[in-house]
Amino acid sequence: MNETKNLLAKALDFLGSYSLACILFLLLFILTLFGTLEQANSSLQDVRTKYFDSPFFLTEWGIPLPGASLLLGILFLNLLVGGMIRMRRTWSRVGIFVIHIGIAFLLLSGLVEGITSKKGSMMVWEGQTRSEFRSYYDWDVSILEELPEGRQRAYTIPYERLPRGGKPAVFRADGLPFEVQLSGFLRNCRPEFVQHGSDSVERGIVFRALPPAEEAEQNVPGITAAIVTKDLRREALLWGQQMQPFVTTIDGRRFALDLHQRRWPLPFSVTLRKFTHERHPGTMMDRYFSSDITRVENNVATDVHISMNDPMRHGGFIFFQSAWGPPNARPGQPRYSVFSVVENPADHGPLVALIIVAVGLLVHFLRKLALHIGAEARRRA
Amino acid sequence: MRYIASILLLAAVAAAAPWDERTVDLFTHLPVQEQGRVKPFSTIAAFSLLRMNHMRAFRDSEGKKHTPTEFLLEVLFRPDDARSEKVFLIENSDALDAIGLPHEGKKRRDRYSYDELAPARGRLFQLAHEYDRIKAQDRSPVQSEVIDLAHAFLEFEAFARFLDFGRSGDTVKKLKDGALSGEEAFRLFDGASALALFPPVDGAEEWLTPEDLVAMAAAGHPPAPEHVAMLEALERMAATESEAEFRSAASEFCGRSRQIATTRGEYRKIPLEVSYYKLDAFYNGLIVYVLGFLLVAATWLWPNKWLARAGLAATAIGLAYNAAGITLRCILLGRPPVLNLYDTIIFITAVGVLSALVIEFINRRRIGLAAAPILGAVGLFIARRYEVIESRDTLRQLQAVLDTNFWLATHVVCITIGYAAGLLASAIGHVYVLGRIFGLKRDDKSFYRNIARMVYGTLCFALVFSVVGTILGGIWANYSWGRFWGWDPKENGALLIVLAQLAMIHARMGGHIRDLGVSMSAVLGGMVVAWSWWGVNLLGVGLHSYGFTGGVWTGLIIFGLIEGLVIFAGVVSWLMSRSAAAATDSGAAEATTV
Repeated sequence: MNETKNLLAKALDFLGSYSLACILFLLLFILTLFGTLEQANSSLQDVRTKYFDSPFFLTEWGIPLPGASLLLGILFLNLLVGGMIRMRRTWSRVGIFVIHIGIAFLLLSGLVEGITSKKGSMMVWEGQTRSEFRSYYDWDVSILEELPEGRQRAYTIPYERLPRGGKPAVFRADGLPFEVQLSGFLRNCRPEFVQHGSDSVERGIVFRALPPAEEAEQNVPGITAAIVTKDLRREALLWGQQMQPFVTTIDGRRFALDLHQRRWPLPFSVTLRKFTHERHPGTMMDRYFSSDITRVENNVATDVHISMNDPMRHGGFIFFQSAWGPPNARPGQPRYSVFSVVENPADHGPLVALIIVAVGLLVHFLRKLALHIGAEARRRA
Repeated sequence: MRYIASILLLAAVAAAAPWDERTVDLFTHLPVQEQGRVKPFSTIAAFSLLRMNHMRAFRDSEGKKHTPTEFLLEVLFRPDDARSEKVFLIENSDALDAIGLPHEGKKRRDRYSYDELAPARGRLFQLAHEYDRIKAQDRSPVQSEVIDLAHAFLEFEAFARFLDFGRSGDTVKKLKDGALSGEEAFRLFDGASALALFPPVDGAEEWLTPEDLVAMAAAGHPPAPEHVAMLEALERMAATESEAEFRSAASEFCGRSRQIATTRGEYRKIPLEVSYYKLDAFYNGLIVYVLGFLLVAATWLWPNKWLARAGLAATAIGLAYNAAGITLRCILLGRPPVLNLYDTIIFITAVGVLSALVIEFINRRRIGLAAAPILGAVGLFIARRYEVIESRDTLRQLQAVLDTNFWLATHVVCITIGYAAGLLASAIGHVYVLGRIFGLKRDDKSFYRNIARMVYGTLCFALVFSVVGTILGGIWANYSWGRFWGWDPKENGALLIVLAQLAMIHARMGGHIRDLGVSMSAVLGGMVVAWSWWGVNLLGVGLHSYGFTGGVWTGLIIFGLIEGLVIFAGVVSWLMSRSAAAATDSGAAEATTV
């Protein structure tokens, strides 16, 4: 029993030790350094996914490393045990204690953001209204059934469940008179017409795999879908940029299959009234751009101005002015505005953490400085 | 024959005639719009000359030094004479070999005139076009030099052709009278686009070139009377050989320009910018810092409080120059002090020097006093080199995404103070490590203990600003673009500094490292700061990328090698002291930790 207690105490000692903190900082340092260097050859999103989301991974140079999420998780425990619970509580350490609370809060708000936030974009033309925003990277397959009176029933196969290789994935749902088999998901591809070949599935068209785009949001995926019943099998190529969904009729019911960026509905609509854009005179450098929108919620219309560094915050959503186009639009021609849209419950977490950390740093280091100056003054006296 | 010879002689005399001071002064203060900013003619001339000659001045064939304004006046109004002036600096004659230009009798690094380079013009542009397709970071130094030379050559030609319309007869009168066909007008004014000299009179933002005026006239918008009068004055200046008439036309041209610019509220800062460049605060600061260092170094040989005080005074004057330059730049752009890489250098230098002086004020051990002028001189020397490598106006406009004085004044300033403190800790760390290696004050333990305290204190100071600055950056990103952390290289660079400093401080608190370890870590931390400050920009990716800066890789690698050597020597020193301690069988326990 005593041995177990000793072991537990030793484990706790190590978990809250300076040694573990140093190891974690060094590992995070190495991870951040490699993650930065790897961006010269890979997209930011790919590097982020590899270095942050995986518990362990191999760098571009074949070096095995633990992922950032794992390291930050352990760092949180180290902070909790060594920097808060087991730390000697003396007045001289109040500042350090407060700093650790702030850092722990920052890590927690990062965790909440990672788990719960939704990040995407909304492109809207002048005069156009939208009430949803789209994910940057996640693509879902939707099956829509036309119902009487213009209604629709939707089934969604999420990005996480799309088959990345190997055997096809089969999806069934109550109410669907067929099963959907998905295979051959390509993260970035384009359709090509082939005259000769045995691998064509739809009128001689095949997907040509492309290397990942420099910016991950520029990837256009494709997937092969098959609608299978007892009596028939219909195959289709679904591509991220196709203009129309694949439409088929089964047992007299019309269905549409579509591969599209994940869509999140908004509790309000956004109409772009006017887009304003200025460049520094005589240059192609943007000086300022902004969007005048009308937000309608519960039949109440509100005019809002959104510009760079001045987003709209409403109902838990934040709209950031992100981009615009078309770049060659002449005066008077319609333009579109692109908003980054974020739903993040931990939106203000970093600010709160900063305030706590700053207070802690000031208390601790000002005290240290005052002691040092006093000692030096005494030495000179 | 004698008559022709006399004319040629007169022409030669006229060509060699220096520019009248009053004329130079008029043009120095002439407002011109470039890269979205209204700036003095002299600023444009200075950076143009910097691109060609790698200096803000040039010497004529008689060795006489000329100002940038005189240079540009020469190219604009006496292009034939300017073509024979040696204003193109070739750093490496391999570039000339590449373009097939013989250079016998010249040095490897030498100056050439336009006329000397002109025979290789075709090959120069052909190669420059070819090399332009290579990524900047993959180009060899010769390829980069060929591209830079081609740009400088084009720029010279653009200025030399700028007033061709004025040398072709009564062009402006014909334009005013509608006697020029559209085709003829475009032919005559083709090339008159290098300088936007004409402030709009209709409230438009973009200033106009002579070519713009002709294009507008062709589109049914005849030039405003003020612009016609300015065009006529330009034409008179281009055509006349009389100095008095030239100055009269120059007065009219510059006077009208100034009047319109004043009405538009765009002339206000022109005299201040001229004064800023005349003050040459960073060059003068560099000289005074070097003097300060020499005086402080003299105290090492001849300890004397008056020498030390003189060194302190020189360093303080250097800091005053440094701060004055930064302040003037803030006033000129109406922005906080740090907007681009050049700003970071001068700001970090000033903060580093100030912090070192504060350390000296607290500790009075002449270590801060020695570090301050060294940091100042090195920093301003780097700023000067960077300005030559970049060769473009460092007072630049901001992208829309960065247009927020609040975040620039908080996040960017905090981060750069963190950089400065990290570098200062590294500088003091060098004193400890090198002192140990070379046996400086071998028996004075308190000397080393105090240096280590300074290093640790400076590291803590650096950590405060690095942490607060990094989190502030995240908050800016979160509130402006919707993400706290994007793993962008520059963000990661700041994080690397924070992580390195956290590791050092926790290692010290945990007893894993002691005085020597802290000092060596601080040297290592200096390398991390250098990488975050410069290295990440060389990757050429990310939101914060300032663009590839040629020539920096070499400097960074040399810096890394030297610092690596210092750390290696520190480790050897520690191992030796440990074995010595073990041999004497005393103090072994104390020596097992660095």
